[in-house]
Amino acid sequence: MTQPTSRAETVGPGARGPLLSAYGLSKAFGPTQALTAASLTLAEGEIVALMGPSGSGKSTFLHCLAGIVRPDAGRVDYAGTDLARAADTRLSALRRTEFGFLFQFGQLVPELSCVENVALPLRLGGQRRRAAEREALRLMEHLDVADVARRRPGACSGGQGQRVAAARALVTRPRVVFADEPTGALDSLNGEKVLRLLTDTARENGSSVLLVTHEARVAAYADREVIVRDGRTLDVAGGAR
Amino acid sequence: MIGVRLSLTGGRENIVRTCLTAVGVGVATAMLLLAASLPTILDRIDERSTSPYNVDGLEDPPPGDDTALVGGSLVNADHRGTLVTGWVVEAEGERAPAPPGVDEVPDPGEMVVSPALAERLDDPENEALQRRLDHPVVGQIEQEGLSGPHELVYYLGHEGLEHDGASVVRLDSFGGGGEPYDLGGPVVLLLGVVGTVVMLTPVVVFLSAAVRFGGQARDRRLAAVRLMGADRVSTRRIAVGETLVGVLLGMLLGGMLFLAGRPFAELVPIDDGVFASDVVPVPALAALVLVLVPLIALWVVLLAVRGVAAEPLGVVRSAERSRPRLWWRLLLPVIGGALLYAGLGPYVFGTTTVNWVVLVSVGLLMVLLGTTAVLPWLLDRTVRMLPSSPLSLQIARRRMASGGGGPTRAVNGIVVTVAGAIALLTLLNGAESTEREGADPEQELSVGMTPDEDPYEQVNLSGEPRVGDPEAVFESESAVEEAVLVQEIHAETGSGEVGRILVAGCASLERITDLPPCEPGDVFATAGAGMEPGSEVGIGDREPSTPWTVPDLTVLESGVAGVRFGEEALLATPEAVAQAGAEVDEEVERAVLLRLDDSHPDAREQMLAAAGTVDPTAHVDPLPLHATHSALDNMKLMLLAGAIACLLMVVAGVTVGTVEQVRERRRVHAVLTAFGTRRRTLVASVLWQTAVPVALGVVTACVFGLALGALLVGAAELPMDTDAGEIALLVAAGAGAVLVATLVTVPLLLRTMRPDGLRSE
Amino acid sequence: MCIVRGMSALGPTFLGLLESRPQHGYDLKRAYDEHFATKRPLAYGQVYATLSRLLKNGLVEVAATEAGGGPERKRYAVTDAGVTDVEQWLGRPESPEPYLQSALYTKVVLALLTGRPADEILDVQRAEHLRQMRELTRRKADGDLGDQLICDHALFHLEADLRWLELTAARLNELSGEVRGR
Repeated sequence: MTQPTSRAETVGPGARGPLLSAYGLSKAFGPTQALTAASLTLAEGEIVALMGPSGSGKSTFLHCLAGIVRPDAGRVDYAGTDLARAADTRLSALRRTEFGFLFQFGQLVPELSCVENVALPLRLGGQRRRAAEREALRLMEHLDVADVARRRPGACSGGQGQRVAAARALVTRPRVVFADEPTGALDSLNGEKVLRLLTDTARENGSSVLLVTHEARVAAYADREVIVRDGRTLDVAGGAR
Repeated sequence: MIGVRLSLTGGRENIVRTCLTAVGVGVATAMLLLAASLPTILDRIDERSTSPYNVDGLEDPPPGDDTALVGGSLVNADHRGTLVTGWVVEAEGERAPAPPGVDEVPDPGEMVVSPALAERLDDPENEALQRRLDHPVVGQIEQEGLSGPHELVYYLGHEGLEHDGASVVRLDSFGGGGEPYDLGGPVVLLLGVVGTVVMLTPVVVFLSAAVRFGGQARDRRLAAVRLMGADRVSTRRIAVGETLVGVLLGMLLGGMLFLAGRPFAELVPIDDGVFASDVVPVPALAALVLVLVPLIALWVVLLAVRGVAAEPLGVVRSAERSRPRLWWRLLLPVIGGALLYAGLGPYVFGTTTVNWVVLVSVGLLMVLLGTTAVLPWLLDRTVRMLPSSPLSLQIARRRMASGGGGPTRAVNGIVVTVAGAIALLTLLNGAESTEREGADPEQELSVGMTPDEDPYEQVNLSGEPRVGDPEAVFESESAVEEAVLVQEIHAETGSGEVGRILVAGCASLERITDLPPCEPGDVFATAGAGMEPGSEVGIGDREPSTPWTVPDLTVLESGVAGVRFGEEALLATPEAVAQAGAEVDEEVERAVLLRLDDSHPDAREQMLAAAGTVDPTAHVDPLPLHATHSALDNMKLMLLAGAIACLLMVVAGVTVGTVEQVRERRRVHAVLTAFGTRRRTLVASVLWQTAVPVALGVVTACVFGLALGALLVGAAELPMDTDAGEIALLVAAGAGAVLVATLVTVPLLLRTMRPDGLRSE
Repeated sequence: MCIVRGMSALGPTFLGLLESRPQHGYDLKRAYDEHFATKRPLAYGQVYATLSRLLKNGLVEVAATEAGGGPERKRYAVTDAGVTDVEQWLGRPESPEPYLQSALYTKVVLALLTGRPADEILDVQRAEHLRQMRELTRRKADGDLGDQLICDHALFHLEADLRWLELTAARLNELSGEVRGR
């Protein structure tokens, strides 16, 4: 396959300066404090696993980092913009062009065919249908799902569906891919396949990946991990000690 | 039963769904019960709305102490466009019959009035009406004497009525030989049939939509039940049980709605209105409703469940739907059309040998429901042809293609309503234009001019004026510019035409028009008078008429400046007519010619007030046709009201459907938002999804509606007279209804676009 | 990391390798290193000690002895008894070994007893575990199917350790109460 080993070792935290960084994020949903002073930096091309038990606030953290949820306090710096304070249209545009998303389930539009689903972010960005679908198909070949391109998501297996979703997350060559438990609904073999393809393609594209998971085996695909517990990030991560 | 329990205890959503179904079924049941009451309503109105006049050609009874004289009072008068029926009555003895709804014949100078008229008399704004009927009110007419709560009637006690068997009749009982309620022949019956079917079809469509409320949630629940080990049959039974609760509640609600709504029937401003106590369903029809509603509901549920195989591990939709085929979908409207054609054909229509009403109703029903069968096919074709750009259209397109009957189902109600309404409108317009064209001016108007152009009014006095100087009474009204008292004689020429002779002194004649020097004995002819000097005409209304030789006359040029009261009349001085004999002089009618200030809003009211003062038994010119609400206008109003009510139901149905769909795809929307989808893209996709079926539906409705209308109009031998404005109104209302329903759901849609949906359940 | 643990497994493994064809001790070592050893190659001493034990027990025999310049003289072949032994060994379930946690458990209890922060021990251990898992994952990406299976085996074990770590971390308060109460 590729040569990720050497590369991962050269790209350490802060090697090229942080692409995305968050300081002291907190967020409450009603009486529930989901996030308390969480911080993180993500370097360009770096794959970071956000680990923690369920309910620890890691999904909320990801949503804040991606500009989907506005934190109550703290700042999220991305390419000179504080996402915690940016206008909604700016956030939407960022998510459309520079971010990619992969979730655990229920993310493909059931009525659109797989290739149309993959082409969706390109078309949101204003590309014409034909060009967008050609591009989508190319990536789907790479992710080994070209054969289901014309099928509906409902007619695909779970692994295929998740690889289609991965293709959709990657199709715009985003600078950051946010993946929230991307293998949560898959068996180990399919999970591995999705993760391999996701991380390999991301590395080829030079995309950073923020990988939310509670599974160590999934986190092992990252360059380093950040532990979230009770809405806080632990700063022991990375095996520095 | 599990289903029953599920529908009542299965959490908030289940209860909401059951309630929605109940409300929908309730509204539909109430509407059906109302329709089942129509025959009773018509019967009761028929029973009561009798004229005191005998029309059966029997001789009036001889005078006795059990008879009364009855004549018209201010015939043709109206109050602000609503006909006011007035009678003068005079008891000829102790046992004189009292008018229906009245205890006894009112004493001379006193009157009894209907409640609606009493209300108007009490209103200080109706000052002119109070002056017109300036008689003490001694009682009110009870319900049995009224055709409806809004009827304006009064009986005025009078003295000195002269029996002539025509305008004043003698009765020993009221209403006995009354005029039967005129159904107006096959055309009006046809209108009624079409109207009822057109109004009821959307109710049925709505009913089936109401039963499907919350269908997707139900499918999931059924899957869960299957997981617990229920087999297919019992799953179906559960689905039925679940729905049955809503349906039964709905029927209960419908019954209550119907009862609660009955008093409001009196508020309906159509014709004389309907008494609440008349709104009673025909027992057989009511029973039919009670049986049919649950049957339709069950049928719809079973149909809905059949399409979805609720498997234990989730809902599996019959994956690849077969594409809609055209031929059998066309079968329904074609058979319907054939039935209509047969029913309306020359051998059956309007006869009593075959029940053409049944043929026509069934045919109509099939054509209307057939439109909804053609729609899915049309939608399938159209969706395939739509472009895939912009993105919102692509998403909408795919949803429509995969949604099956879903998107069209919501629109069906609109299609049926609009198609039916257009057909009915076409029929109504046809009927109306014949009524207008065929209207006999002689019968409608006492002045031989078309009413619309007539700037003059005429009040015919049937008795001696009660005041010394009628002209002064009329001219004291601010809106009356000029009043001239003349005598009016009708003259029949040898060729059978009837001309008009106005008889008055020179001074009065000069007020009618500019005359050359006038002396007693002169006769003038305005243009179109139609009587040659020297010819012999018969004058007077008595048989045989009195012969009169038209003397030498001065012909006035047509269009002479100063003709103030119209042409087509002979103007004669009394001396010129006197040669015909004294009896003529005695029986000629007195008439007051009036010129009114048309810009004065109260002109007609003031004229009527003065007429009432001068002679309560006077006749006035009726309001020009276009100013009155004819029966057809009322039907049109009813139709529009009905169509709007149907559309409201459709809006409710569509809203529920869209809300359900939006909630269903909460997660997909949240993900799309995460990807940075613009709000307008998603909103547009939902709008497209509604707009395309609606546009198609409306076009289908127009085509079917006009075709149906043409068929009906052709059968009734009426002219095709479509009003693009009215059709546009209906179409806009239909399309607007769905757009409103969709827009209502936009806030919810925007809410689903928040990231909350991303948080795993 | 030693995947096949203890000498008890080395004998049957050799027998199995010899089953396909008689081999020199050197070939055996190479085959073993290729398939099973992931970290350290097998020491020659260990190879010959094992072979002589097998010879003594009649599970292998010397098939041929060659004269020549190389160090290799004897070619070994498996006996019928040796085949039976392999079969028995393969059919016998391994007793699941509760090994690593004894040390870590001791550390945690000791930390709690002496008032040191036990969660730091767990955090450090977790980081170390994850570091190893990352390395295995990377190796897995470069290796063939055999390597992948070996690495997965290790990864699943490490993951199991980590699960225990997480559980312990979550129940540290409870544990400290119990340890102190004793």
